Amino acid sequence: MDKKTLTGSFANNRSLIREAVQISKNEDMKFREFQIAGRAAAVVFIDGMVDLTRLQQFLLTPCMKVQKIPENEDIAAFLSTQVLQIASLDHTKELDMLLLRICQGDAALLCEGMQGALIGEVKGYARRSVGQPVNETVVMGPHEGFCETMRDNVVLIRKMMRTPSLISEAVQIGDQVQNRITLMYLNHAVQQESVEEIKRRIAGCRVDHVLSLGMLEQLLEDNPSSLFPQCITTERPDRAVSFLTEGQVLILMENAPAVLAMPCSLLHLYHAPDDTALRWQYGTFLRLLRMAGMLIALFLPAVYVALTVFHPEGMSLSLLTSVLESQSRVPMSLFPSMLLMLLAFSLISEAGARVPGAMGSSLSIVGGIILGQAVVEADMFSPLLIVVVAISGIGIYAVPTYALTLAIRIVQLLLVAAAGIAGYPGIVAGAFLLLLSLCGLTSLNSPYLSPVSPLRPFNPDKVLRLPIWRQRLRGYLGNALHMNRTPGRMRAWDKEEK
Amino acid sequence: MNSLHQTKTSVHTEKARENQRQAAQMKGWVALSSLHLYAQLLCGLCFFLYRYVSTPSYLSLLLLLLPLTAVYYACCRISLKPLLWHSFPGKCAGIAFIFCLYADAFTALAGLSGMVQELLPDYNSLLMTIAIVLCVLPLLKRRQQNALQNLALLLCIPLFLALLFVLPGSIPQGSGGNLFPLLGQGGGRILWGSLWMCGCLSPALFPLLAHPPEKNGLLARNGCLHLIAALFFAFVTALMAAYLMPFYFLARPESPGARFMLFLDTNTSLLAWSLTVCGMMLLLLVSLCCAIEESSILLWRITKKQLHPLALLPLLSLSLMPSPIVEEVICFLFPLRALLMGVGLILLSIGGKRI
Repeated sequence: MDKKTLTGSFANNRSLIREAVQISKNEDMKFREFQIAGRAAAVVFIDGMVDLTRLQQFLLTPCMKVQKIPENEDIAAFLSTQVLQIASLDHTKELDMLLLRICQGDAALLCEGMQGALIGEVKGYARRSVGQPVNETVVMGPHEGFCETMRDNVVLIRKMMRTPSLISEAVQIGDQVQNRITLMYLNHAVQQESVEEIKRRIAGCRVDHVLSLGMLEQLLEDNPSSLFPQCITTERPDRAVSFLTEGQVLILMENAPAVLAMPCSLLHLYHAPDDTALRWQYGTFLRLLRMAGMLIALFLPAVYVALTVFHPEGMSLSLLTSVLESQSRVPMSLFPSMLLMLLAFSLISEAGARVPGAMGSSLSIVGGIILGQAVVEADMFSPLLIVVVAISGIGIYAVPTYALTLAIRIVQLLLVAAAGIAGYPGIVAGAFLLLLSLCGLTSLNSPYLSPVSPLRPFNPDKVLRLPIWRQRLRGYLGNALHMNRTPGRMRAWDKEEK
Repeated sequence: MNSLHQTKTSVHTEKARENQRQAAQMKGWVALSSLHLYAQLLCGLCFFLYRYVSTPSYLSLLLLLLPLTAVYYACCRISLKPLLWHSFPGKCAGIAFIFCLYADAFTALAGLSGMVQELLPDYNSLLMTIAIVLCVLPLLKRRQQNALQNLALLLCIPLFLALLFVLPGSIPQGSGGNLFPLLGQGGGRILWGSLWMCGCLSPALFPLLAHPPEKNGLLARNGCLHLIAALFFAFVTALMAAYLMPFYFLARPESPGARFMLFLDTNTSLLAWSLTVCGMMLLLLVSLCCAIEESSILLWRITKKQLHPLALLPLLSLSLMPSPIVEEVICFLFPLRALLMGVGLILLSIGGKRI
């Protein structure tokens, strides 16, 4: 399709733009005509998207005050250098670019005899201010979170990492309605192949419009059919900065109150934002707890079903007696009971996430008292089963990444189904296939289970959170030439350090 | 090159990084090969040696070290030459190795099937075998390359630790006297057992032959270590089997599945029982997949063709045969496998080109 261009004729440009923006239908699209030194001129903008005060004060008023435009002088150059008092000003002849900038909240200035149009950045739409992150709260550490305005998010990151090595590249995505994306990375730390690969994937996305970061994630990840997320999302600038120092690339999108980091490994998903802020002993303890919680959540319900239904010989007599006694009063067999209870738990959890705040306590009462106490008293489920489901549910909540918790919930159900069909052999087959799929997974062509398998050099901040001063490596995701974060000891003052 | 807990690295160039990645891949192969070797030795113990007496089994394994050293040395020498898999002797060697690996797969599947039947006596064995074979299918997809090596690296240490965890609980149940009286079976039986166990060694040699050592001697170092580790665990298993062997194992013939689950009778802890059952099944499953993966790689080397899923069909014949016949077939295949391996090595030494 031919690209339409703006010419020096105001009448021609006027009709072209008015037709393109459908001015007769678009109530909020404004085409304000006036004169600059006797020449016909107009400013085009969307009402509500621009800051009207700035528009009037720095664009309209100076233009209207111009008495004469010097002969033989380029009008665009004259206006931009001597008249307009706007910091960010661009000149374009492309109609598509002009329309895109207008839709982004900028104002375009047209003038008779001026080739193309001037675009001034006078954005002034309603925006949410920087607030606290909603889903990634911490005990220690900063409390700023990303908001929906990409420029603010870039600033939040730049504010924390004041170095010219921090690059932010702008790209567009969406065939019909374009959305702005910014790639941010530390130039010396990142592996250039990663940046190029992300750009290649974004350029290769054929989609009319990308609405959310989750949608973008699905378009970019290596294996979209996998249960496990292959990008990591954060709504915390401090965490985003830590990804940058690891050599990862951040992907910011307009209207997304979070950023994506790629590539990532499974271990990144299991780290909490304030692990680094805590003393290393506390951080390690919490991570081990989290790991135990994850394993309990995955395997405890399945093992309980397998042992009770298929392998009672594996249990001691006292435990077996206790299990059988609690199960004997229940009319439903254990396997469907377990599936039902896990589904009910997921239902409560999902409803809890959607319910308005004022009704949260009602939901807790329904979940805790009615489902917990009443079903036991009515002998619908055994108390031991409720205990198992509750413990595994707590284990799930210990996982800090929401996407990972969903994956764990699904795998938990699949493992319970496998255990209900074939006992321990079913669990082993399920676990084997799960591990095999994880081992074959990649994130931006980087192995998902690295640095553990396959082995990669890394700073000791993965399963265990070893001391900060031992973390001298940037890790396998970054640039090989700048893998060491420090030339020597971090605690250089401490001569006793080994 | 780099340990997991290092804080400095020598990887400062793209070339060094690439070398590190190749070394890591090789470690994955070595870990996979270790698990496979251990699983095959375990199968050898359970299918053949425990059938007669338990005591000679660990002595047989001790005697195995000598021929093993010789074979390992020969393989190191052969692998220093670029192996011409597309030459006629190379192709013949490849086919011989594929037969060996299929025998490995058959043995692992038989062991696993025996265990599953022991655990789920009411289930149809054909369905169970089909289900196990289906677990191998994801490997034949191109996207899953290196997944098994990564998995082996991930499982290697926890699996062995789990098996070691079981032992302390079992030790009070055994009797030291079990280790000695059966020596009366004679040295001939022990010697035969050790020669017979040579058939289990083919997987140990595969990384040496399919991934020749690099100039930095990486594989030579790791390869030796993985052989020693796998043999050590097999020796400990055989020793513990002799020590813990209940009298009724000698009094009446037990099924292979029961022999695999020997430790379960001696350890009453729920955690130990679960770890043993799951660990052994996982080990045999990895072994089965490893044999198929290695066959697939060899087939690619000699014909540049992918292994078709239908190639798994012969394994299903296992479920159609009665259990005693399966055992006899395996007992026949083991020495044959050792023979084929020897033939393959000789052919490779002819087919390779000295650098």
